[in-house]
Amino acid sequence: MHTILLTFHYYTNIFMKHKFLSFAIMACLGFLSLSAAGKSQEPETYNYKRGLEAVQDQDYDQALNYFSKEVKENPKNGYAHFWMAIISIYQEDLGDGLSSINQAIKYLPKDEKERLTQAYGSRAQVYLTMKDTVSALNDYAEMTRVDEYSTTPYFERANVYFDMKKYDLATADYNKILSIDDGEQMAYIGLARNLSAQKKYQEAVKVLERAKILDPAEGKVYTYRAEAYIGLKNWPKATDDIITGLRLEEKTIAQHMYLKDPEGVRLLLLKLDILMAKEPNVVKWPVFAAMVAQNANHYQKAIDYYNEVHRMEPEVNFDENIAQCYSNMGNNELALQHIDKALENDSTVLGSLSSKALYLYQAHRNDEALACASKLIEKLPANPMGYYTRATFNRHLGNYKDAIEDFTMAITLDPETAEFYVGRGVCYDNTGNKQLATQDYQTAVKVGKDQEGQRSTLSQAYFYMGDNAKAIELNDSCLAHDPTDGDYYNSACLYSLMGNTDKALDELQIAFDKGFAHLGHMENDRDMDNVRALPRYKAMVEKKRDEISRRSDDDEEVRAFGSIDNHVSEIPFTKEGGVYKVKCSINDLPLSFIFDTGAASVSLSQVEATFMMKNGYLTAKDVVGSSAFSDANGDVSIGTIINLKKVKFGDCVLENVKAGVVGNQRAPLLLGQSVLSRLGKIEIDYSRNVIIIKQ
Amino acid sequence: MKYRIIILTTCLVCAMSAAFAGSKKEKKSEEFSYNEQRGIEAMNDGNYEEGIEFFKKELSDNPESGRAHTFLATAYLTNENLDLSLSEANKALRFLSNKETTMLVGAHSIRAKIHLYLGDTIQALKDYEQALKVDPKDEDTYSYRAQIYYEQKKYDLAQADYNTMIKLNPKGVEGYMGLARNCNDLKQYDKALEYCNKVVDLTDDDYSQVYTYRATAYKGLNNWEKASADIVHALDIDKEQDAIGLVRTSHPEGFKHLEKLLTEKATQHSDDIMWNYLLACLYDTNYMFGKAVEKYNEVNKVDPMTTIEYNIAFTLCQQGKHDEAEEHMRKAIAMDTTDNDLVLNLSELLYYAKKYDQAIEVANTYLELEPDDVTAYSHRGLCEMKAGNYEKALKDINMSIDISAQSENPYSYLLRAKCYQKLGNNELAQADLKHIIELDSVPSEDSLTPQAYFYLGDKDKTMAENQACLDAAANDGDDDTSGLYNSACIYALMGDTDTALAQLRQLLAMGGGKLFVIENDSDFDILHDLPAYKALMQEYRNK
Repeated sequence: MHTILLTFHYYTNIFMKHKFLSFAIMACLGFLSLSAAGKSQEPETYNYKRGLEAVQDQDYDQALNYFSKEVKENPKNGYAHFWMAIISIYQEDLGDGLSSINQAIKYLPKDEKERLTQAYGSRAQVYLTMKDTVSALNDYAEMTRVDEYSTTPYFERANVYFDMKKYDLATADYNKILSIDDGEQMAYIGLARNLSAQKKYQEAVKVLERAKILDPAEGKVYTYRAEAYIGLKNWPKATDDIITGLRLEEKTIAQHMYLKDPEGVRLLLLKLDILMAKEPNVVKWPVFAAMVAQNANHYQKAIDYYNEVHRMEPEVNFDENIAQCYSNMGNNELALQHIDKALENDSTVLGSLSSKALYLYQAHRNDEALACASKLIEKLPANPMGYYTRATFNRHLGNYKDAIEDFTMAITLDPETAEFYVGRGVCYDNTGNKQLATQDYQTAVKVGKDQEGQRSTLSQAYFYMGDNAKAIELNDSCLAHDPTDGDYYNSACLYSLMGNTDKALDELQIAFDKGFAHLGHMENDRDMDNVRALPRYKAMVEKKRDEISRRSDDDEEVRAFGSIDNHVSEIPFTKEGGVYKVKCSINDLPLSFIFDTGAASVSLSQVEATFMMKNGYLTAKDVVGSSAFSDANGDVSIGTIINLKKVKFGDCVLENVKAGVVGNQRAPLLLGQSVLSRLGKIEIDYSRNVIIIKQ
Repeated sequence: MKYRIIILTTCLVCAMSAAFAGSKKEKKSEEFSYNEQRGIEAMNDGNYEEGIEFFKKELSDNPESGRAHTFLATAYLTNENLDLSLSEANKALRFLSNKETTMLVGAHSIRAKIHLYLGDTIQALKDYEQALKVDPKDEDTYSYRAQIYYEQKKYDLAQADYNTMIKLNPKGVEGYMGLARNCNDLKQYDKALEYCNKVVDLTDDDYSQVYTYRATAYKGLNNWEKASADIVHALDIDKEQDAIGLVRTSHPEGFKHLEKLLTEKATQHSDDIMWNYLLACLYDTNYMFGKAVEKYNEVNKVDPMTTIEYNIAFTLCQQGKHDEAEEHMRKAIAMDTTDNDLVLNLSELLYYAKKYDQAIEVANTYLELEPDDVTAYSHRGLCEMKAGNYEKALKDINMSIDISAQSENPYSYLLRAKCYQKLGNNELAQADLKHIIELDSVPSEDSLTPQAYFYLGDKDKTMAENQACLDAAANDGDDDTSGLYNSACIYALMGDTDTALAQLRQLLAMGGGKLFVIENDSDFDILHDLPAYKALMQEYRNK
């Protein structure tokens, strides 16, 4: 199985929504409207007024004290109950909050529209947290009766309906808002969100056009329009909106960086490269580009972007992400180096420890992996993930007894996760305890049946219970809804377990085609035992490994724009016969290359290559393969690709530059974009005949 | 939109002043609250943010004050916060009493204006209708509504509103101006003259726009002597913008009278560069490049500007004096090193001089400065094509397509299709050509669909689409000559050199073609060696 062990630790905390955001807003609303307090029917008693002062000073405990005193003296002071409720909810004490709010609703004057609607709204939020949607909807209805012109209840209710996928009801509420006030931009955005959820993307775009006119600086307009354009596969417009949204508002646009479509990824990275060139000091562009690249499995490219961020802001480290990239490229040693650096910077980051355990395991350093998982448990004994991680390692290593202990601990800490039961069930199965295994599979089905993301796990549970038809049905339903590469990998696992090796490999191929690249995990995954020895499997894995390594090379060559100007080198050139010649050395052999910003790659004539080979500047190990490439004249030659270990210009040194050997001996020595872009930002000063390289 | 009545377009200010002025009628200024007065003062001083804060304070004290909501709506509208303005106008209309007529009219006007921004004309008209129910004598509302009708080409409805305005205020000029503009659009030039003359009678001699309108009517009647006099008069009053547009005429009579009058003005007011500048433009339009450069130089003597160097450069380029043109553009760049556009302009001049390698080098420099300029990638791609570097050209054109998300440019696809054809990839070329047909599905003067059909090898559709585009251009009725240019290209590509030449001749007679563009357009390759073509180019180059 693919899930859980492969947890991503992107730098996304800045985009996360606060769980109690709505409550905080409600509380803030209360605080803001405090300025108007005292103008209506609010009491003038000492304790009440001191309570309000404490609220204004944000001393909420003190405020609660005063309001408590107030309600002891004046139990029918609805305002005091109101504030007690708001503070309690803000402090996440929902029980007291609910009691106070009930009292507030009972005692607030009926014509006190503002406070009453806030009270009902807050109570509805509490009900929603308690998963009592019916009561919440009743309160929203009550709010509309208290103040017919307030748009807040419709917004809140529409949101609930949206979560319930009752789009028609949500749409009705948004339309109601617009009938009250057609200047409410968020109602248009809500309508568009409904339309996109129903795949009515064109209509969503149309609605958002109006929202954009009302306030073009509102980032959410672009966020939701990007979603619609992604639905329409209109990548040019989607990527433009993602960038505008990111410029205006980082929080909600982040979801769109998880693009998978190759054309969308290509365009987005191209535009981000341009932005990095135009705005070289804005760190969010390379951060965002790195995430897009990593998510799209362009790992080397992602690493370059992360390094660029680090160069711009040395205090910012993405070692954890870089480690993830190396791991996915199959380079567990480099992954471990970077995860150690991440832990050096902050040893409290438990995600890093969890990742380290995984990389050690993938590097077959099993004892260290288990020790690392134990350390994770030590640091976070009440978190089930440490136990689950160690249990999974032990399960795959055949240490079923230890695995069962850890799975049991994970289940004790979190009895609602189906995967824990399946994992333990498999261990019971392997130790001959069929009855306990079956019990676990059944429990897994019970706890996971209402959880959307658990289909793959449940599918495996049914398989282990011997119900292949049900397992396949669940697996198919999982693949029917925008399946990811991970879903296809899980499907491959299922068919491998069932012994249907052809189907398993077909599914694995789809997973690969969709970008699955976690080869390290695959090597250890027992679910794949039935296919691992097959020649087709081996060929597929080998091909994938080549592809990852080739893509890393490509990633190095496709960056079009540099952005860091920390170091400046000046390299003189001469103009001869309409071309610019640059002095350089390759593997310490002094040469002159033709400098060509338009050439796609580096090419070396066969004469030079032969000379270098015969004189020890190149060895047989430097020959890496053949590839078709073209020079600036568009002529295509088939040549050997060689690895130039060291290319030196002025004080710039580049290592491992791939160059094509051109069979045509009249072909010039050409230095193209792949080298130039790696050098940094290039400027040409024609008056002084120097190339300026800003690194 | 071709014409605008300036006095009707400053709606932001009008809405604000209407509300303020109206308030004063209903309530003396001293009856305004302190916050309202401070808000109005701040707004009048242009401190909109400060004004908003005062109106918010007022609403904090009186949340149901329709008047304060109207003020706030006005302030937000002036500050271009349309969503907040619309919300405030909605609230204002909820709280205002029937007696607060001016405020009601103001709130409806604000709402109508925002609905127009939203493209909801129906709702806007409903708001104006409601405003007129509140105050049937409000001239401004008729004026705003007439503007909508005018833009919808519903001239009869616009006319009715303008007539009502005249009835309400017989000495007001807006109604007559609106009627004159309607008549000019409907080619009822005699009537337009009558209305313009009425305005001339009603106003002092300082209302420039009426002379531009009257010049348009005289031009329609082919009375260039009077049209020219009115154009120059409008310019003399306040350099009226639309009058400047009318100077660029290639009509022989127009040229004759304007040259005479502008020369007189230039002589009388040698310190005012406008007259020589306009003379230079007139000469430029009429292919009298030597004289144009002479006049530009006279402007430069008084007030050296990069714009003038730019104009001189392109005028010299028209004459084929490419080295001199380059020199002037480089001078412009030296005068303003912050204007990156000039670097791209230099690259364009080098392209027209057929110095493709240099053009590419300069374009490289420009793209270092402006890496997201779609046009520049397209331009460099064209240079690469001319230099025979089709792979590089393809890369640039792809870049221009990739980064121009908001509007797909059919021209980029045409360039790419040509590249693909040169590289032997007919399948991709055909896909691009078909995409052009999808993009330019409606015949128009700018359509590249005829070209797409030509390169797809469908000669019948090429000619049919070309004719449809010419018809569309004729129906459009404006002076744009791009339809004729594109048609000449088609005939040249089809090998009908006589028609192509005839159309080029017609185009040049209308002042619609740049010689350097024609000379560098590969569509005209078949003409370049023809004596008649050479003679035509020579005729216009040495005019």
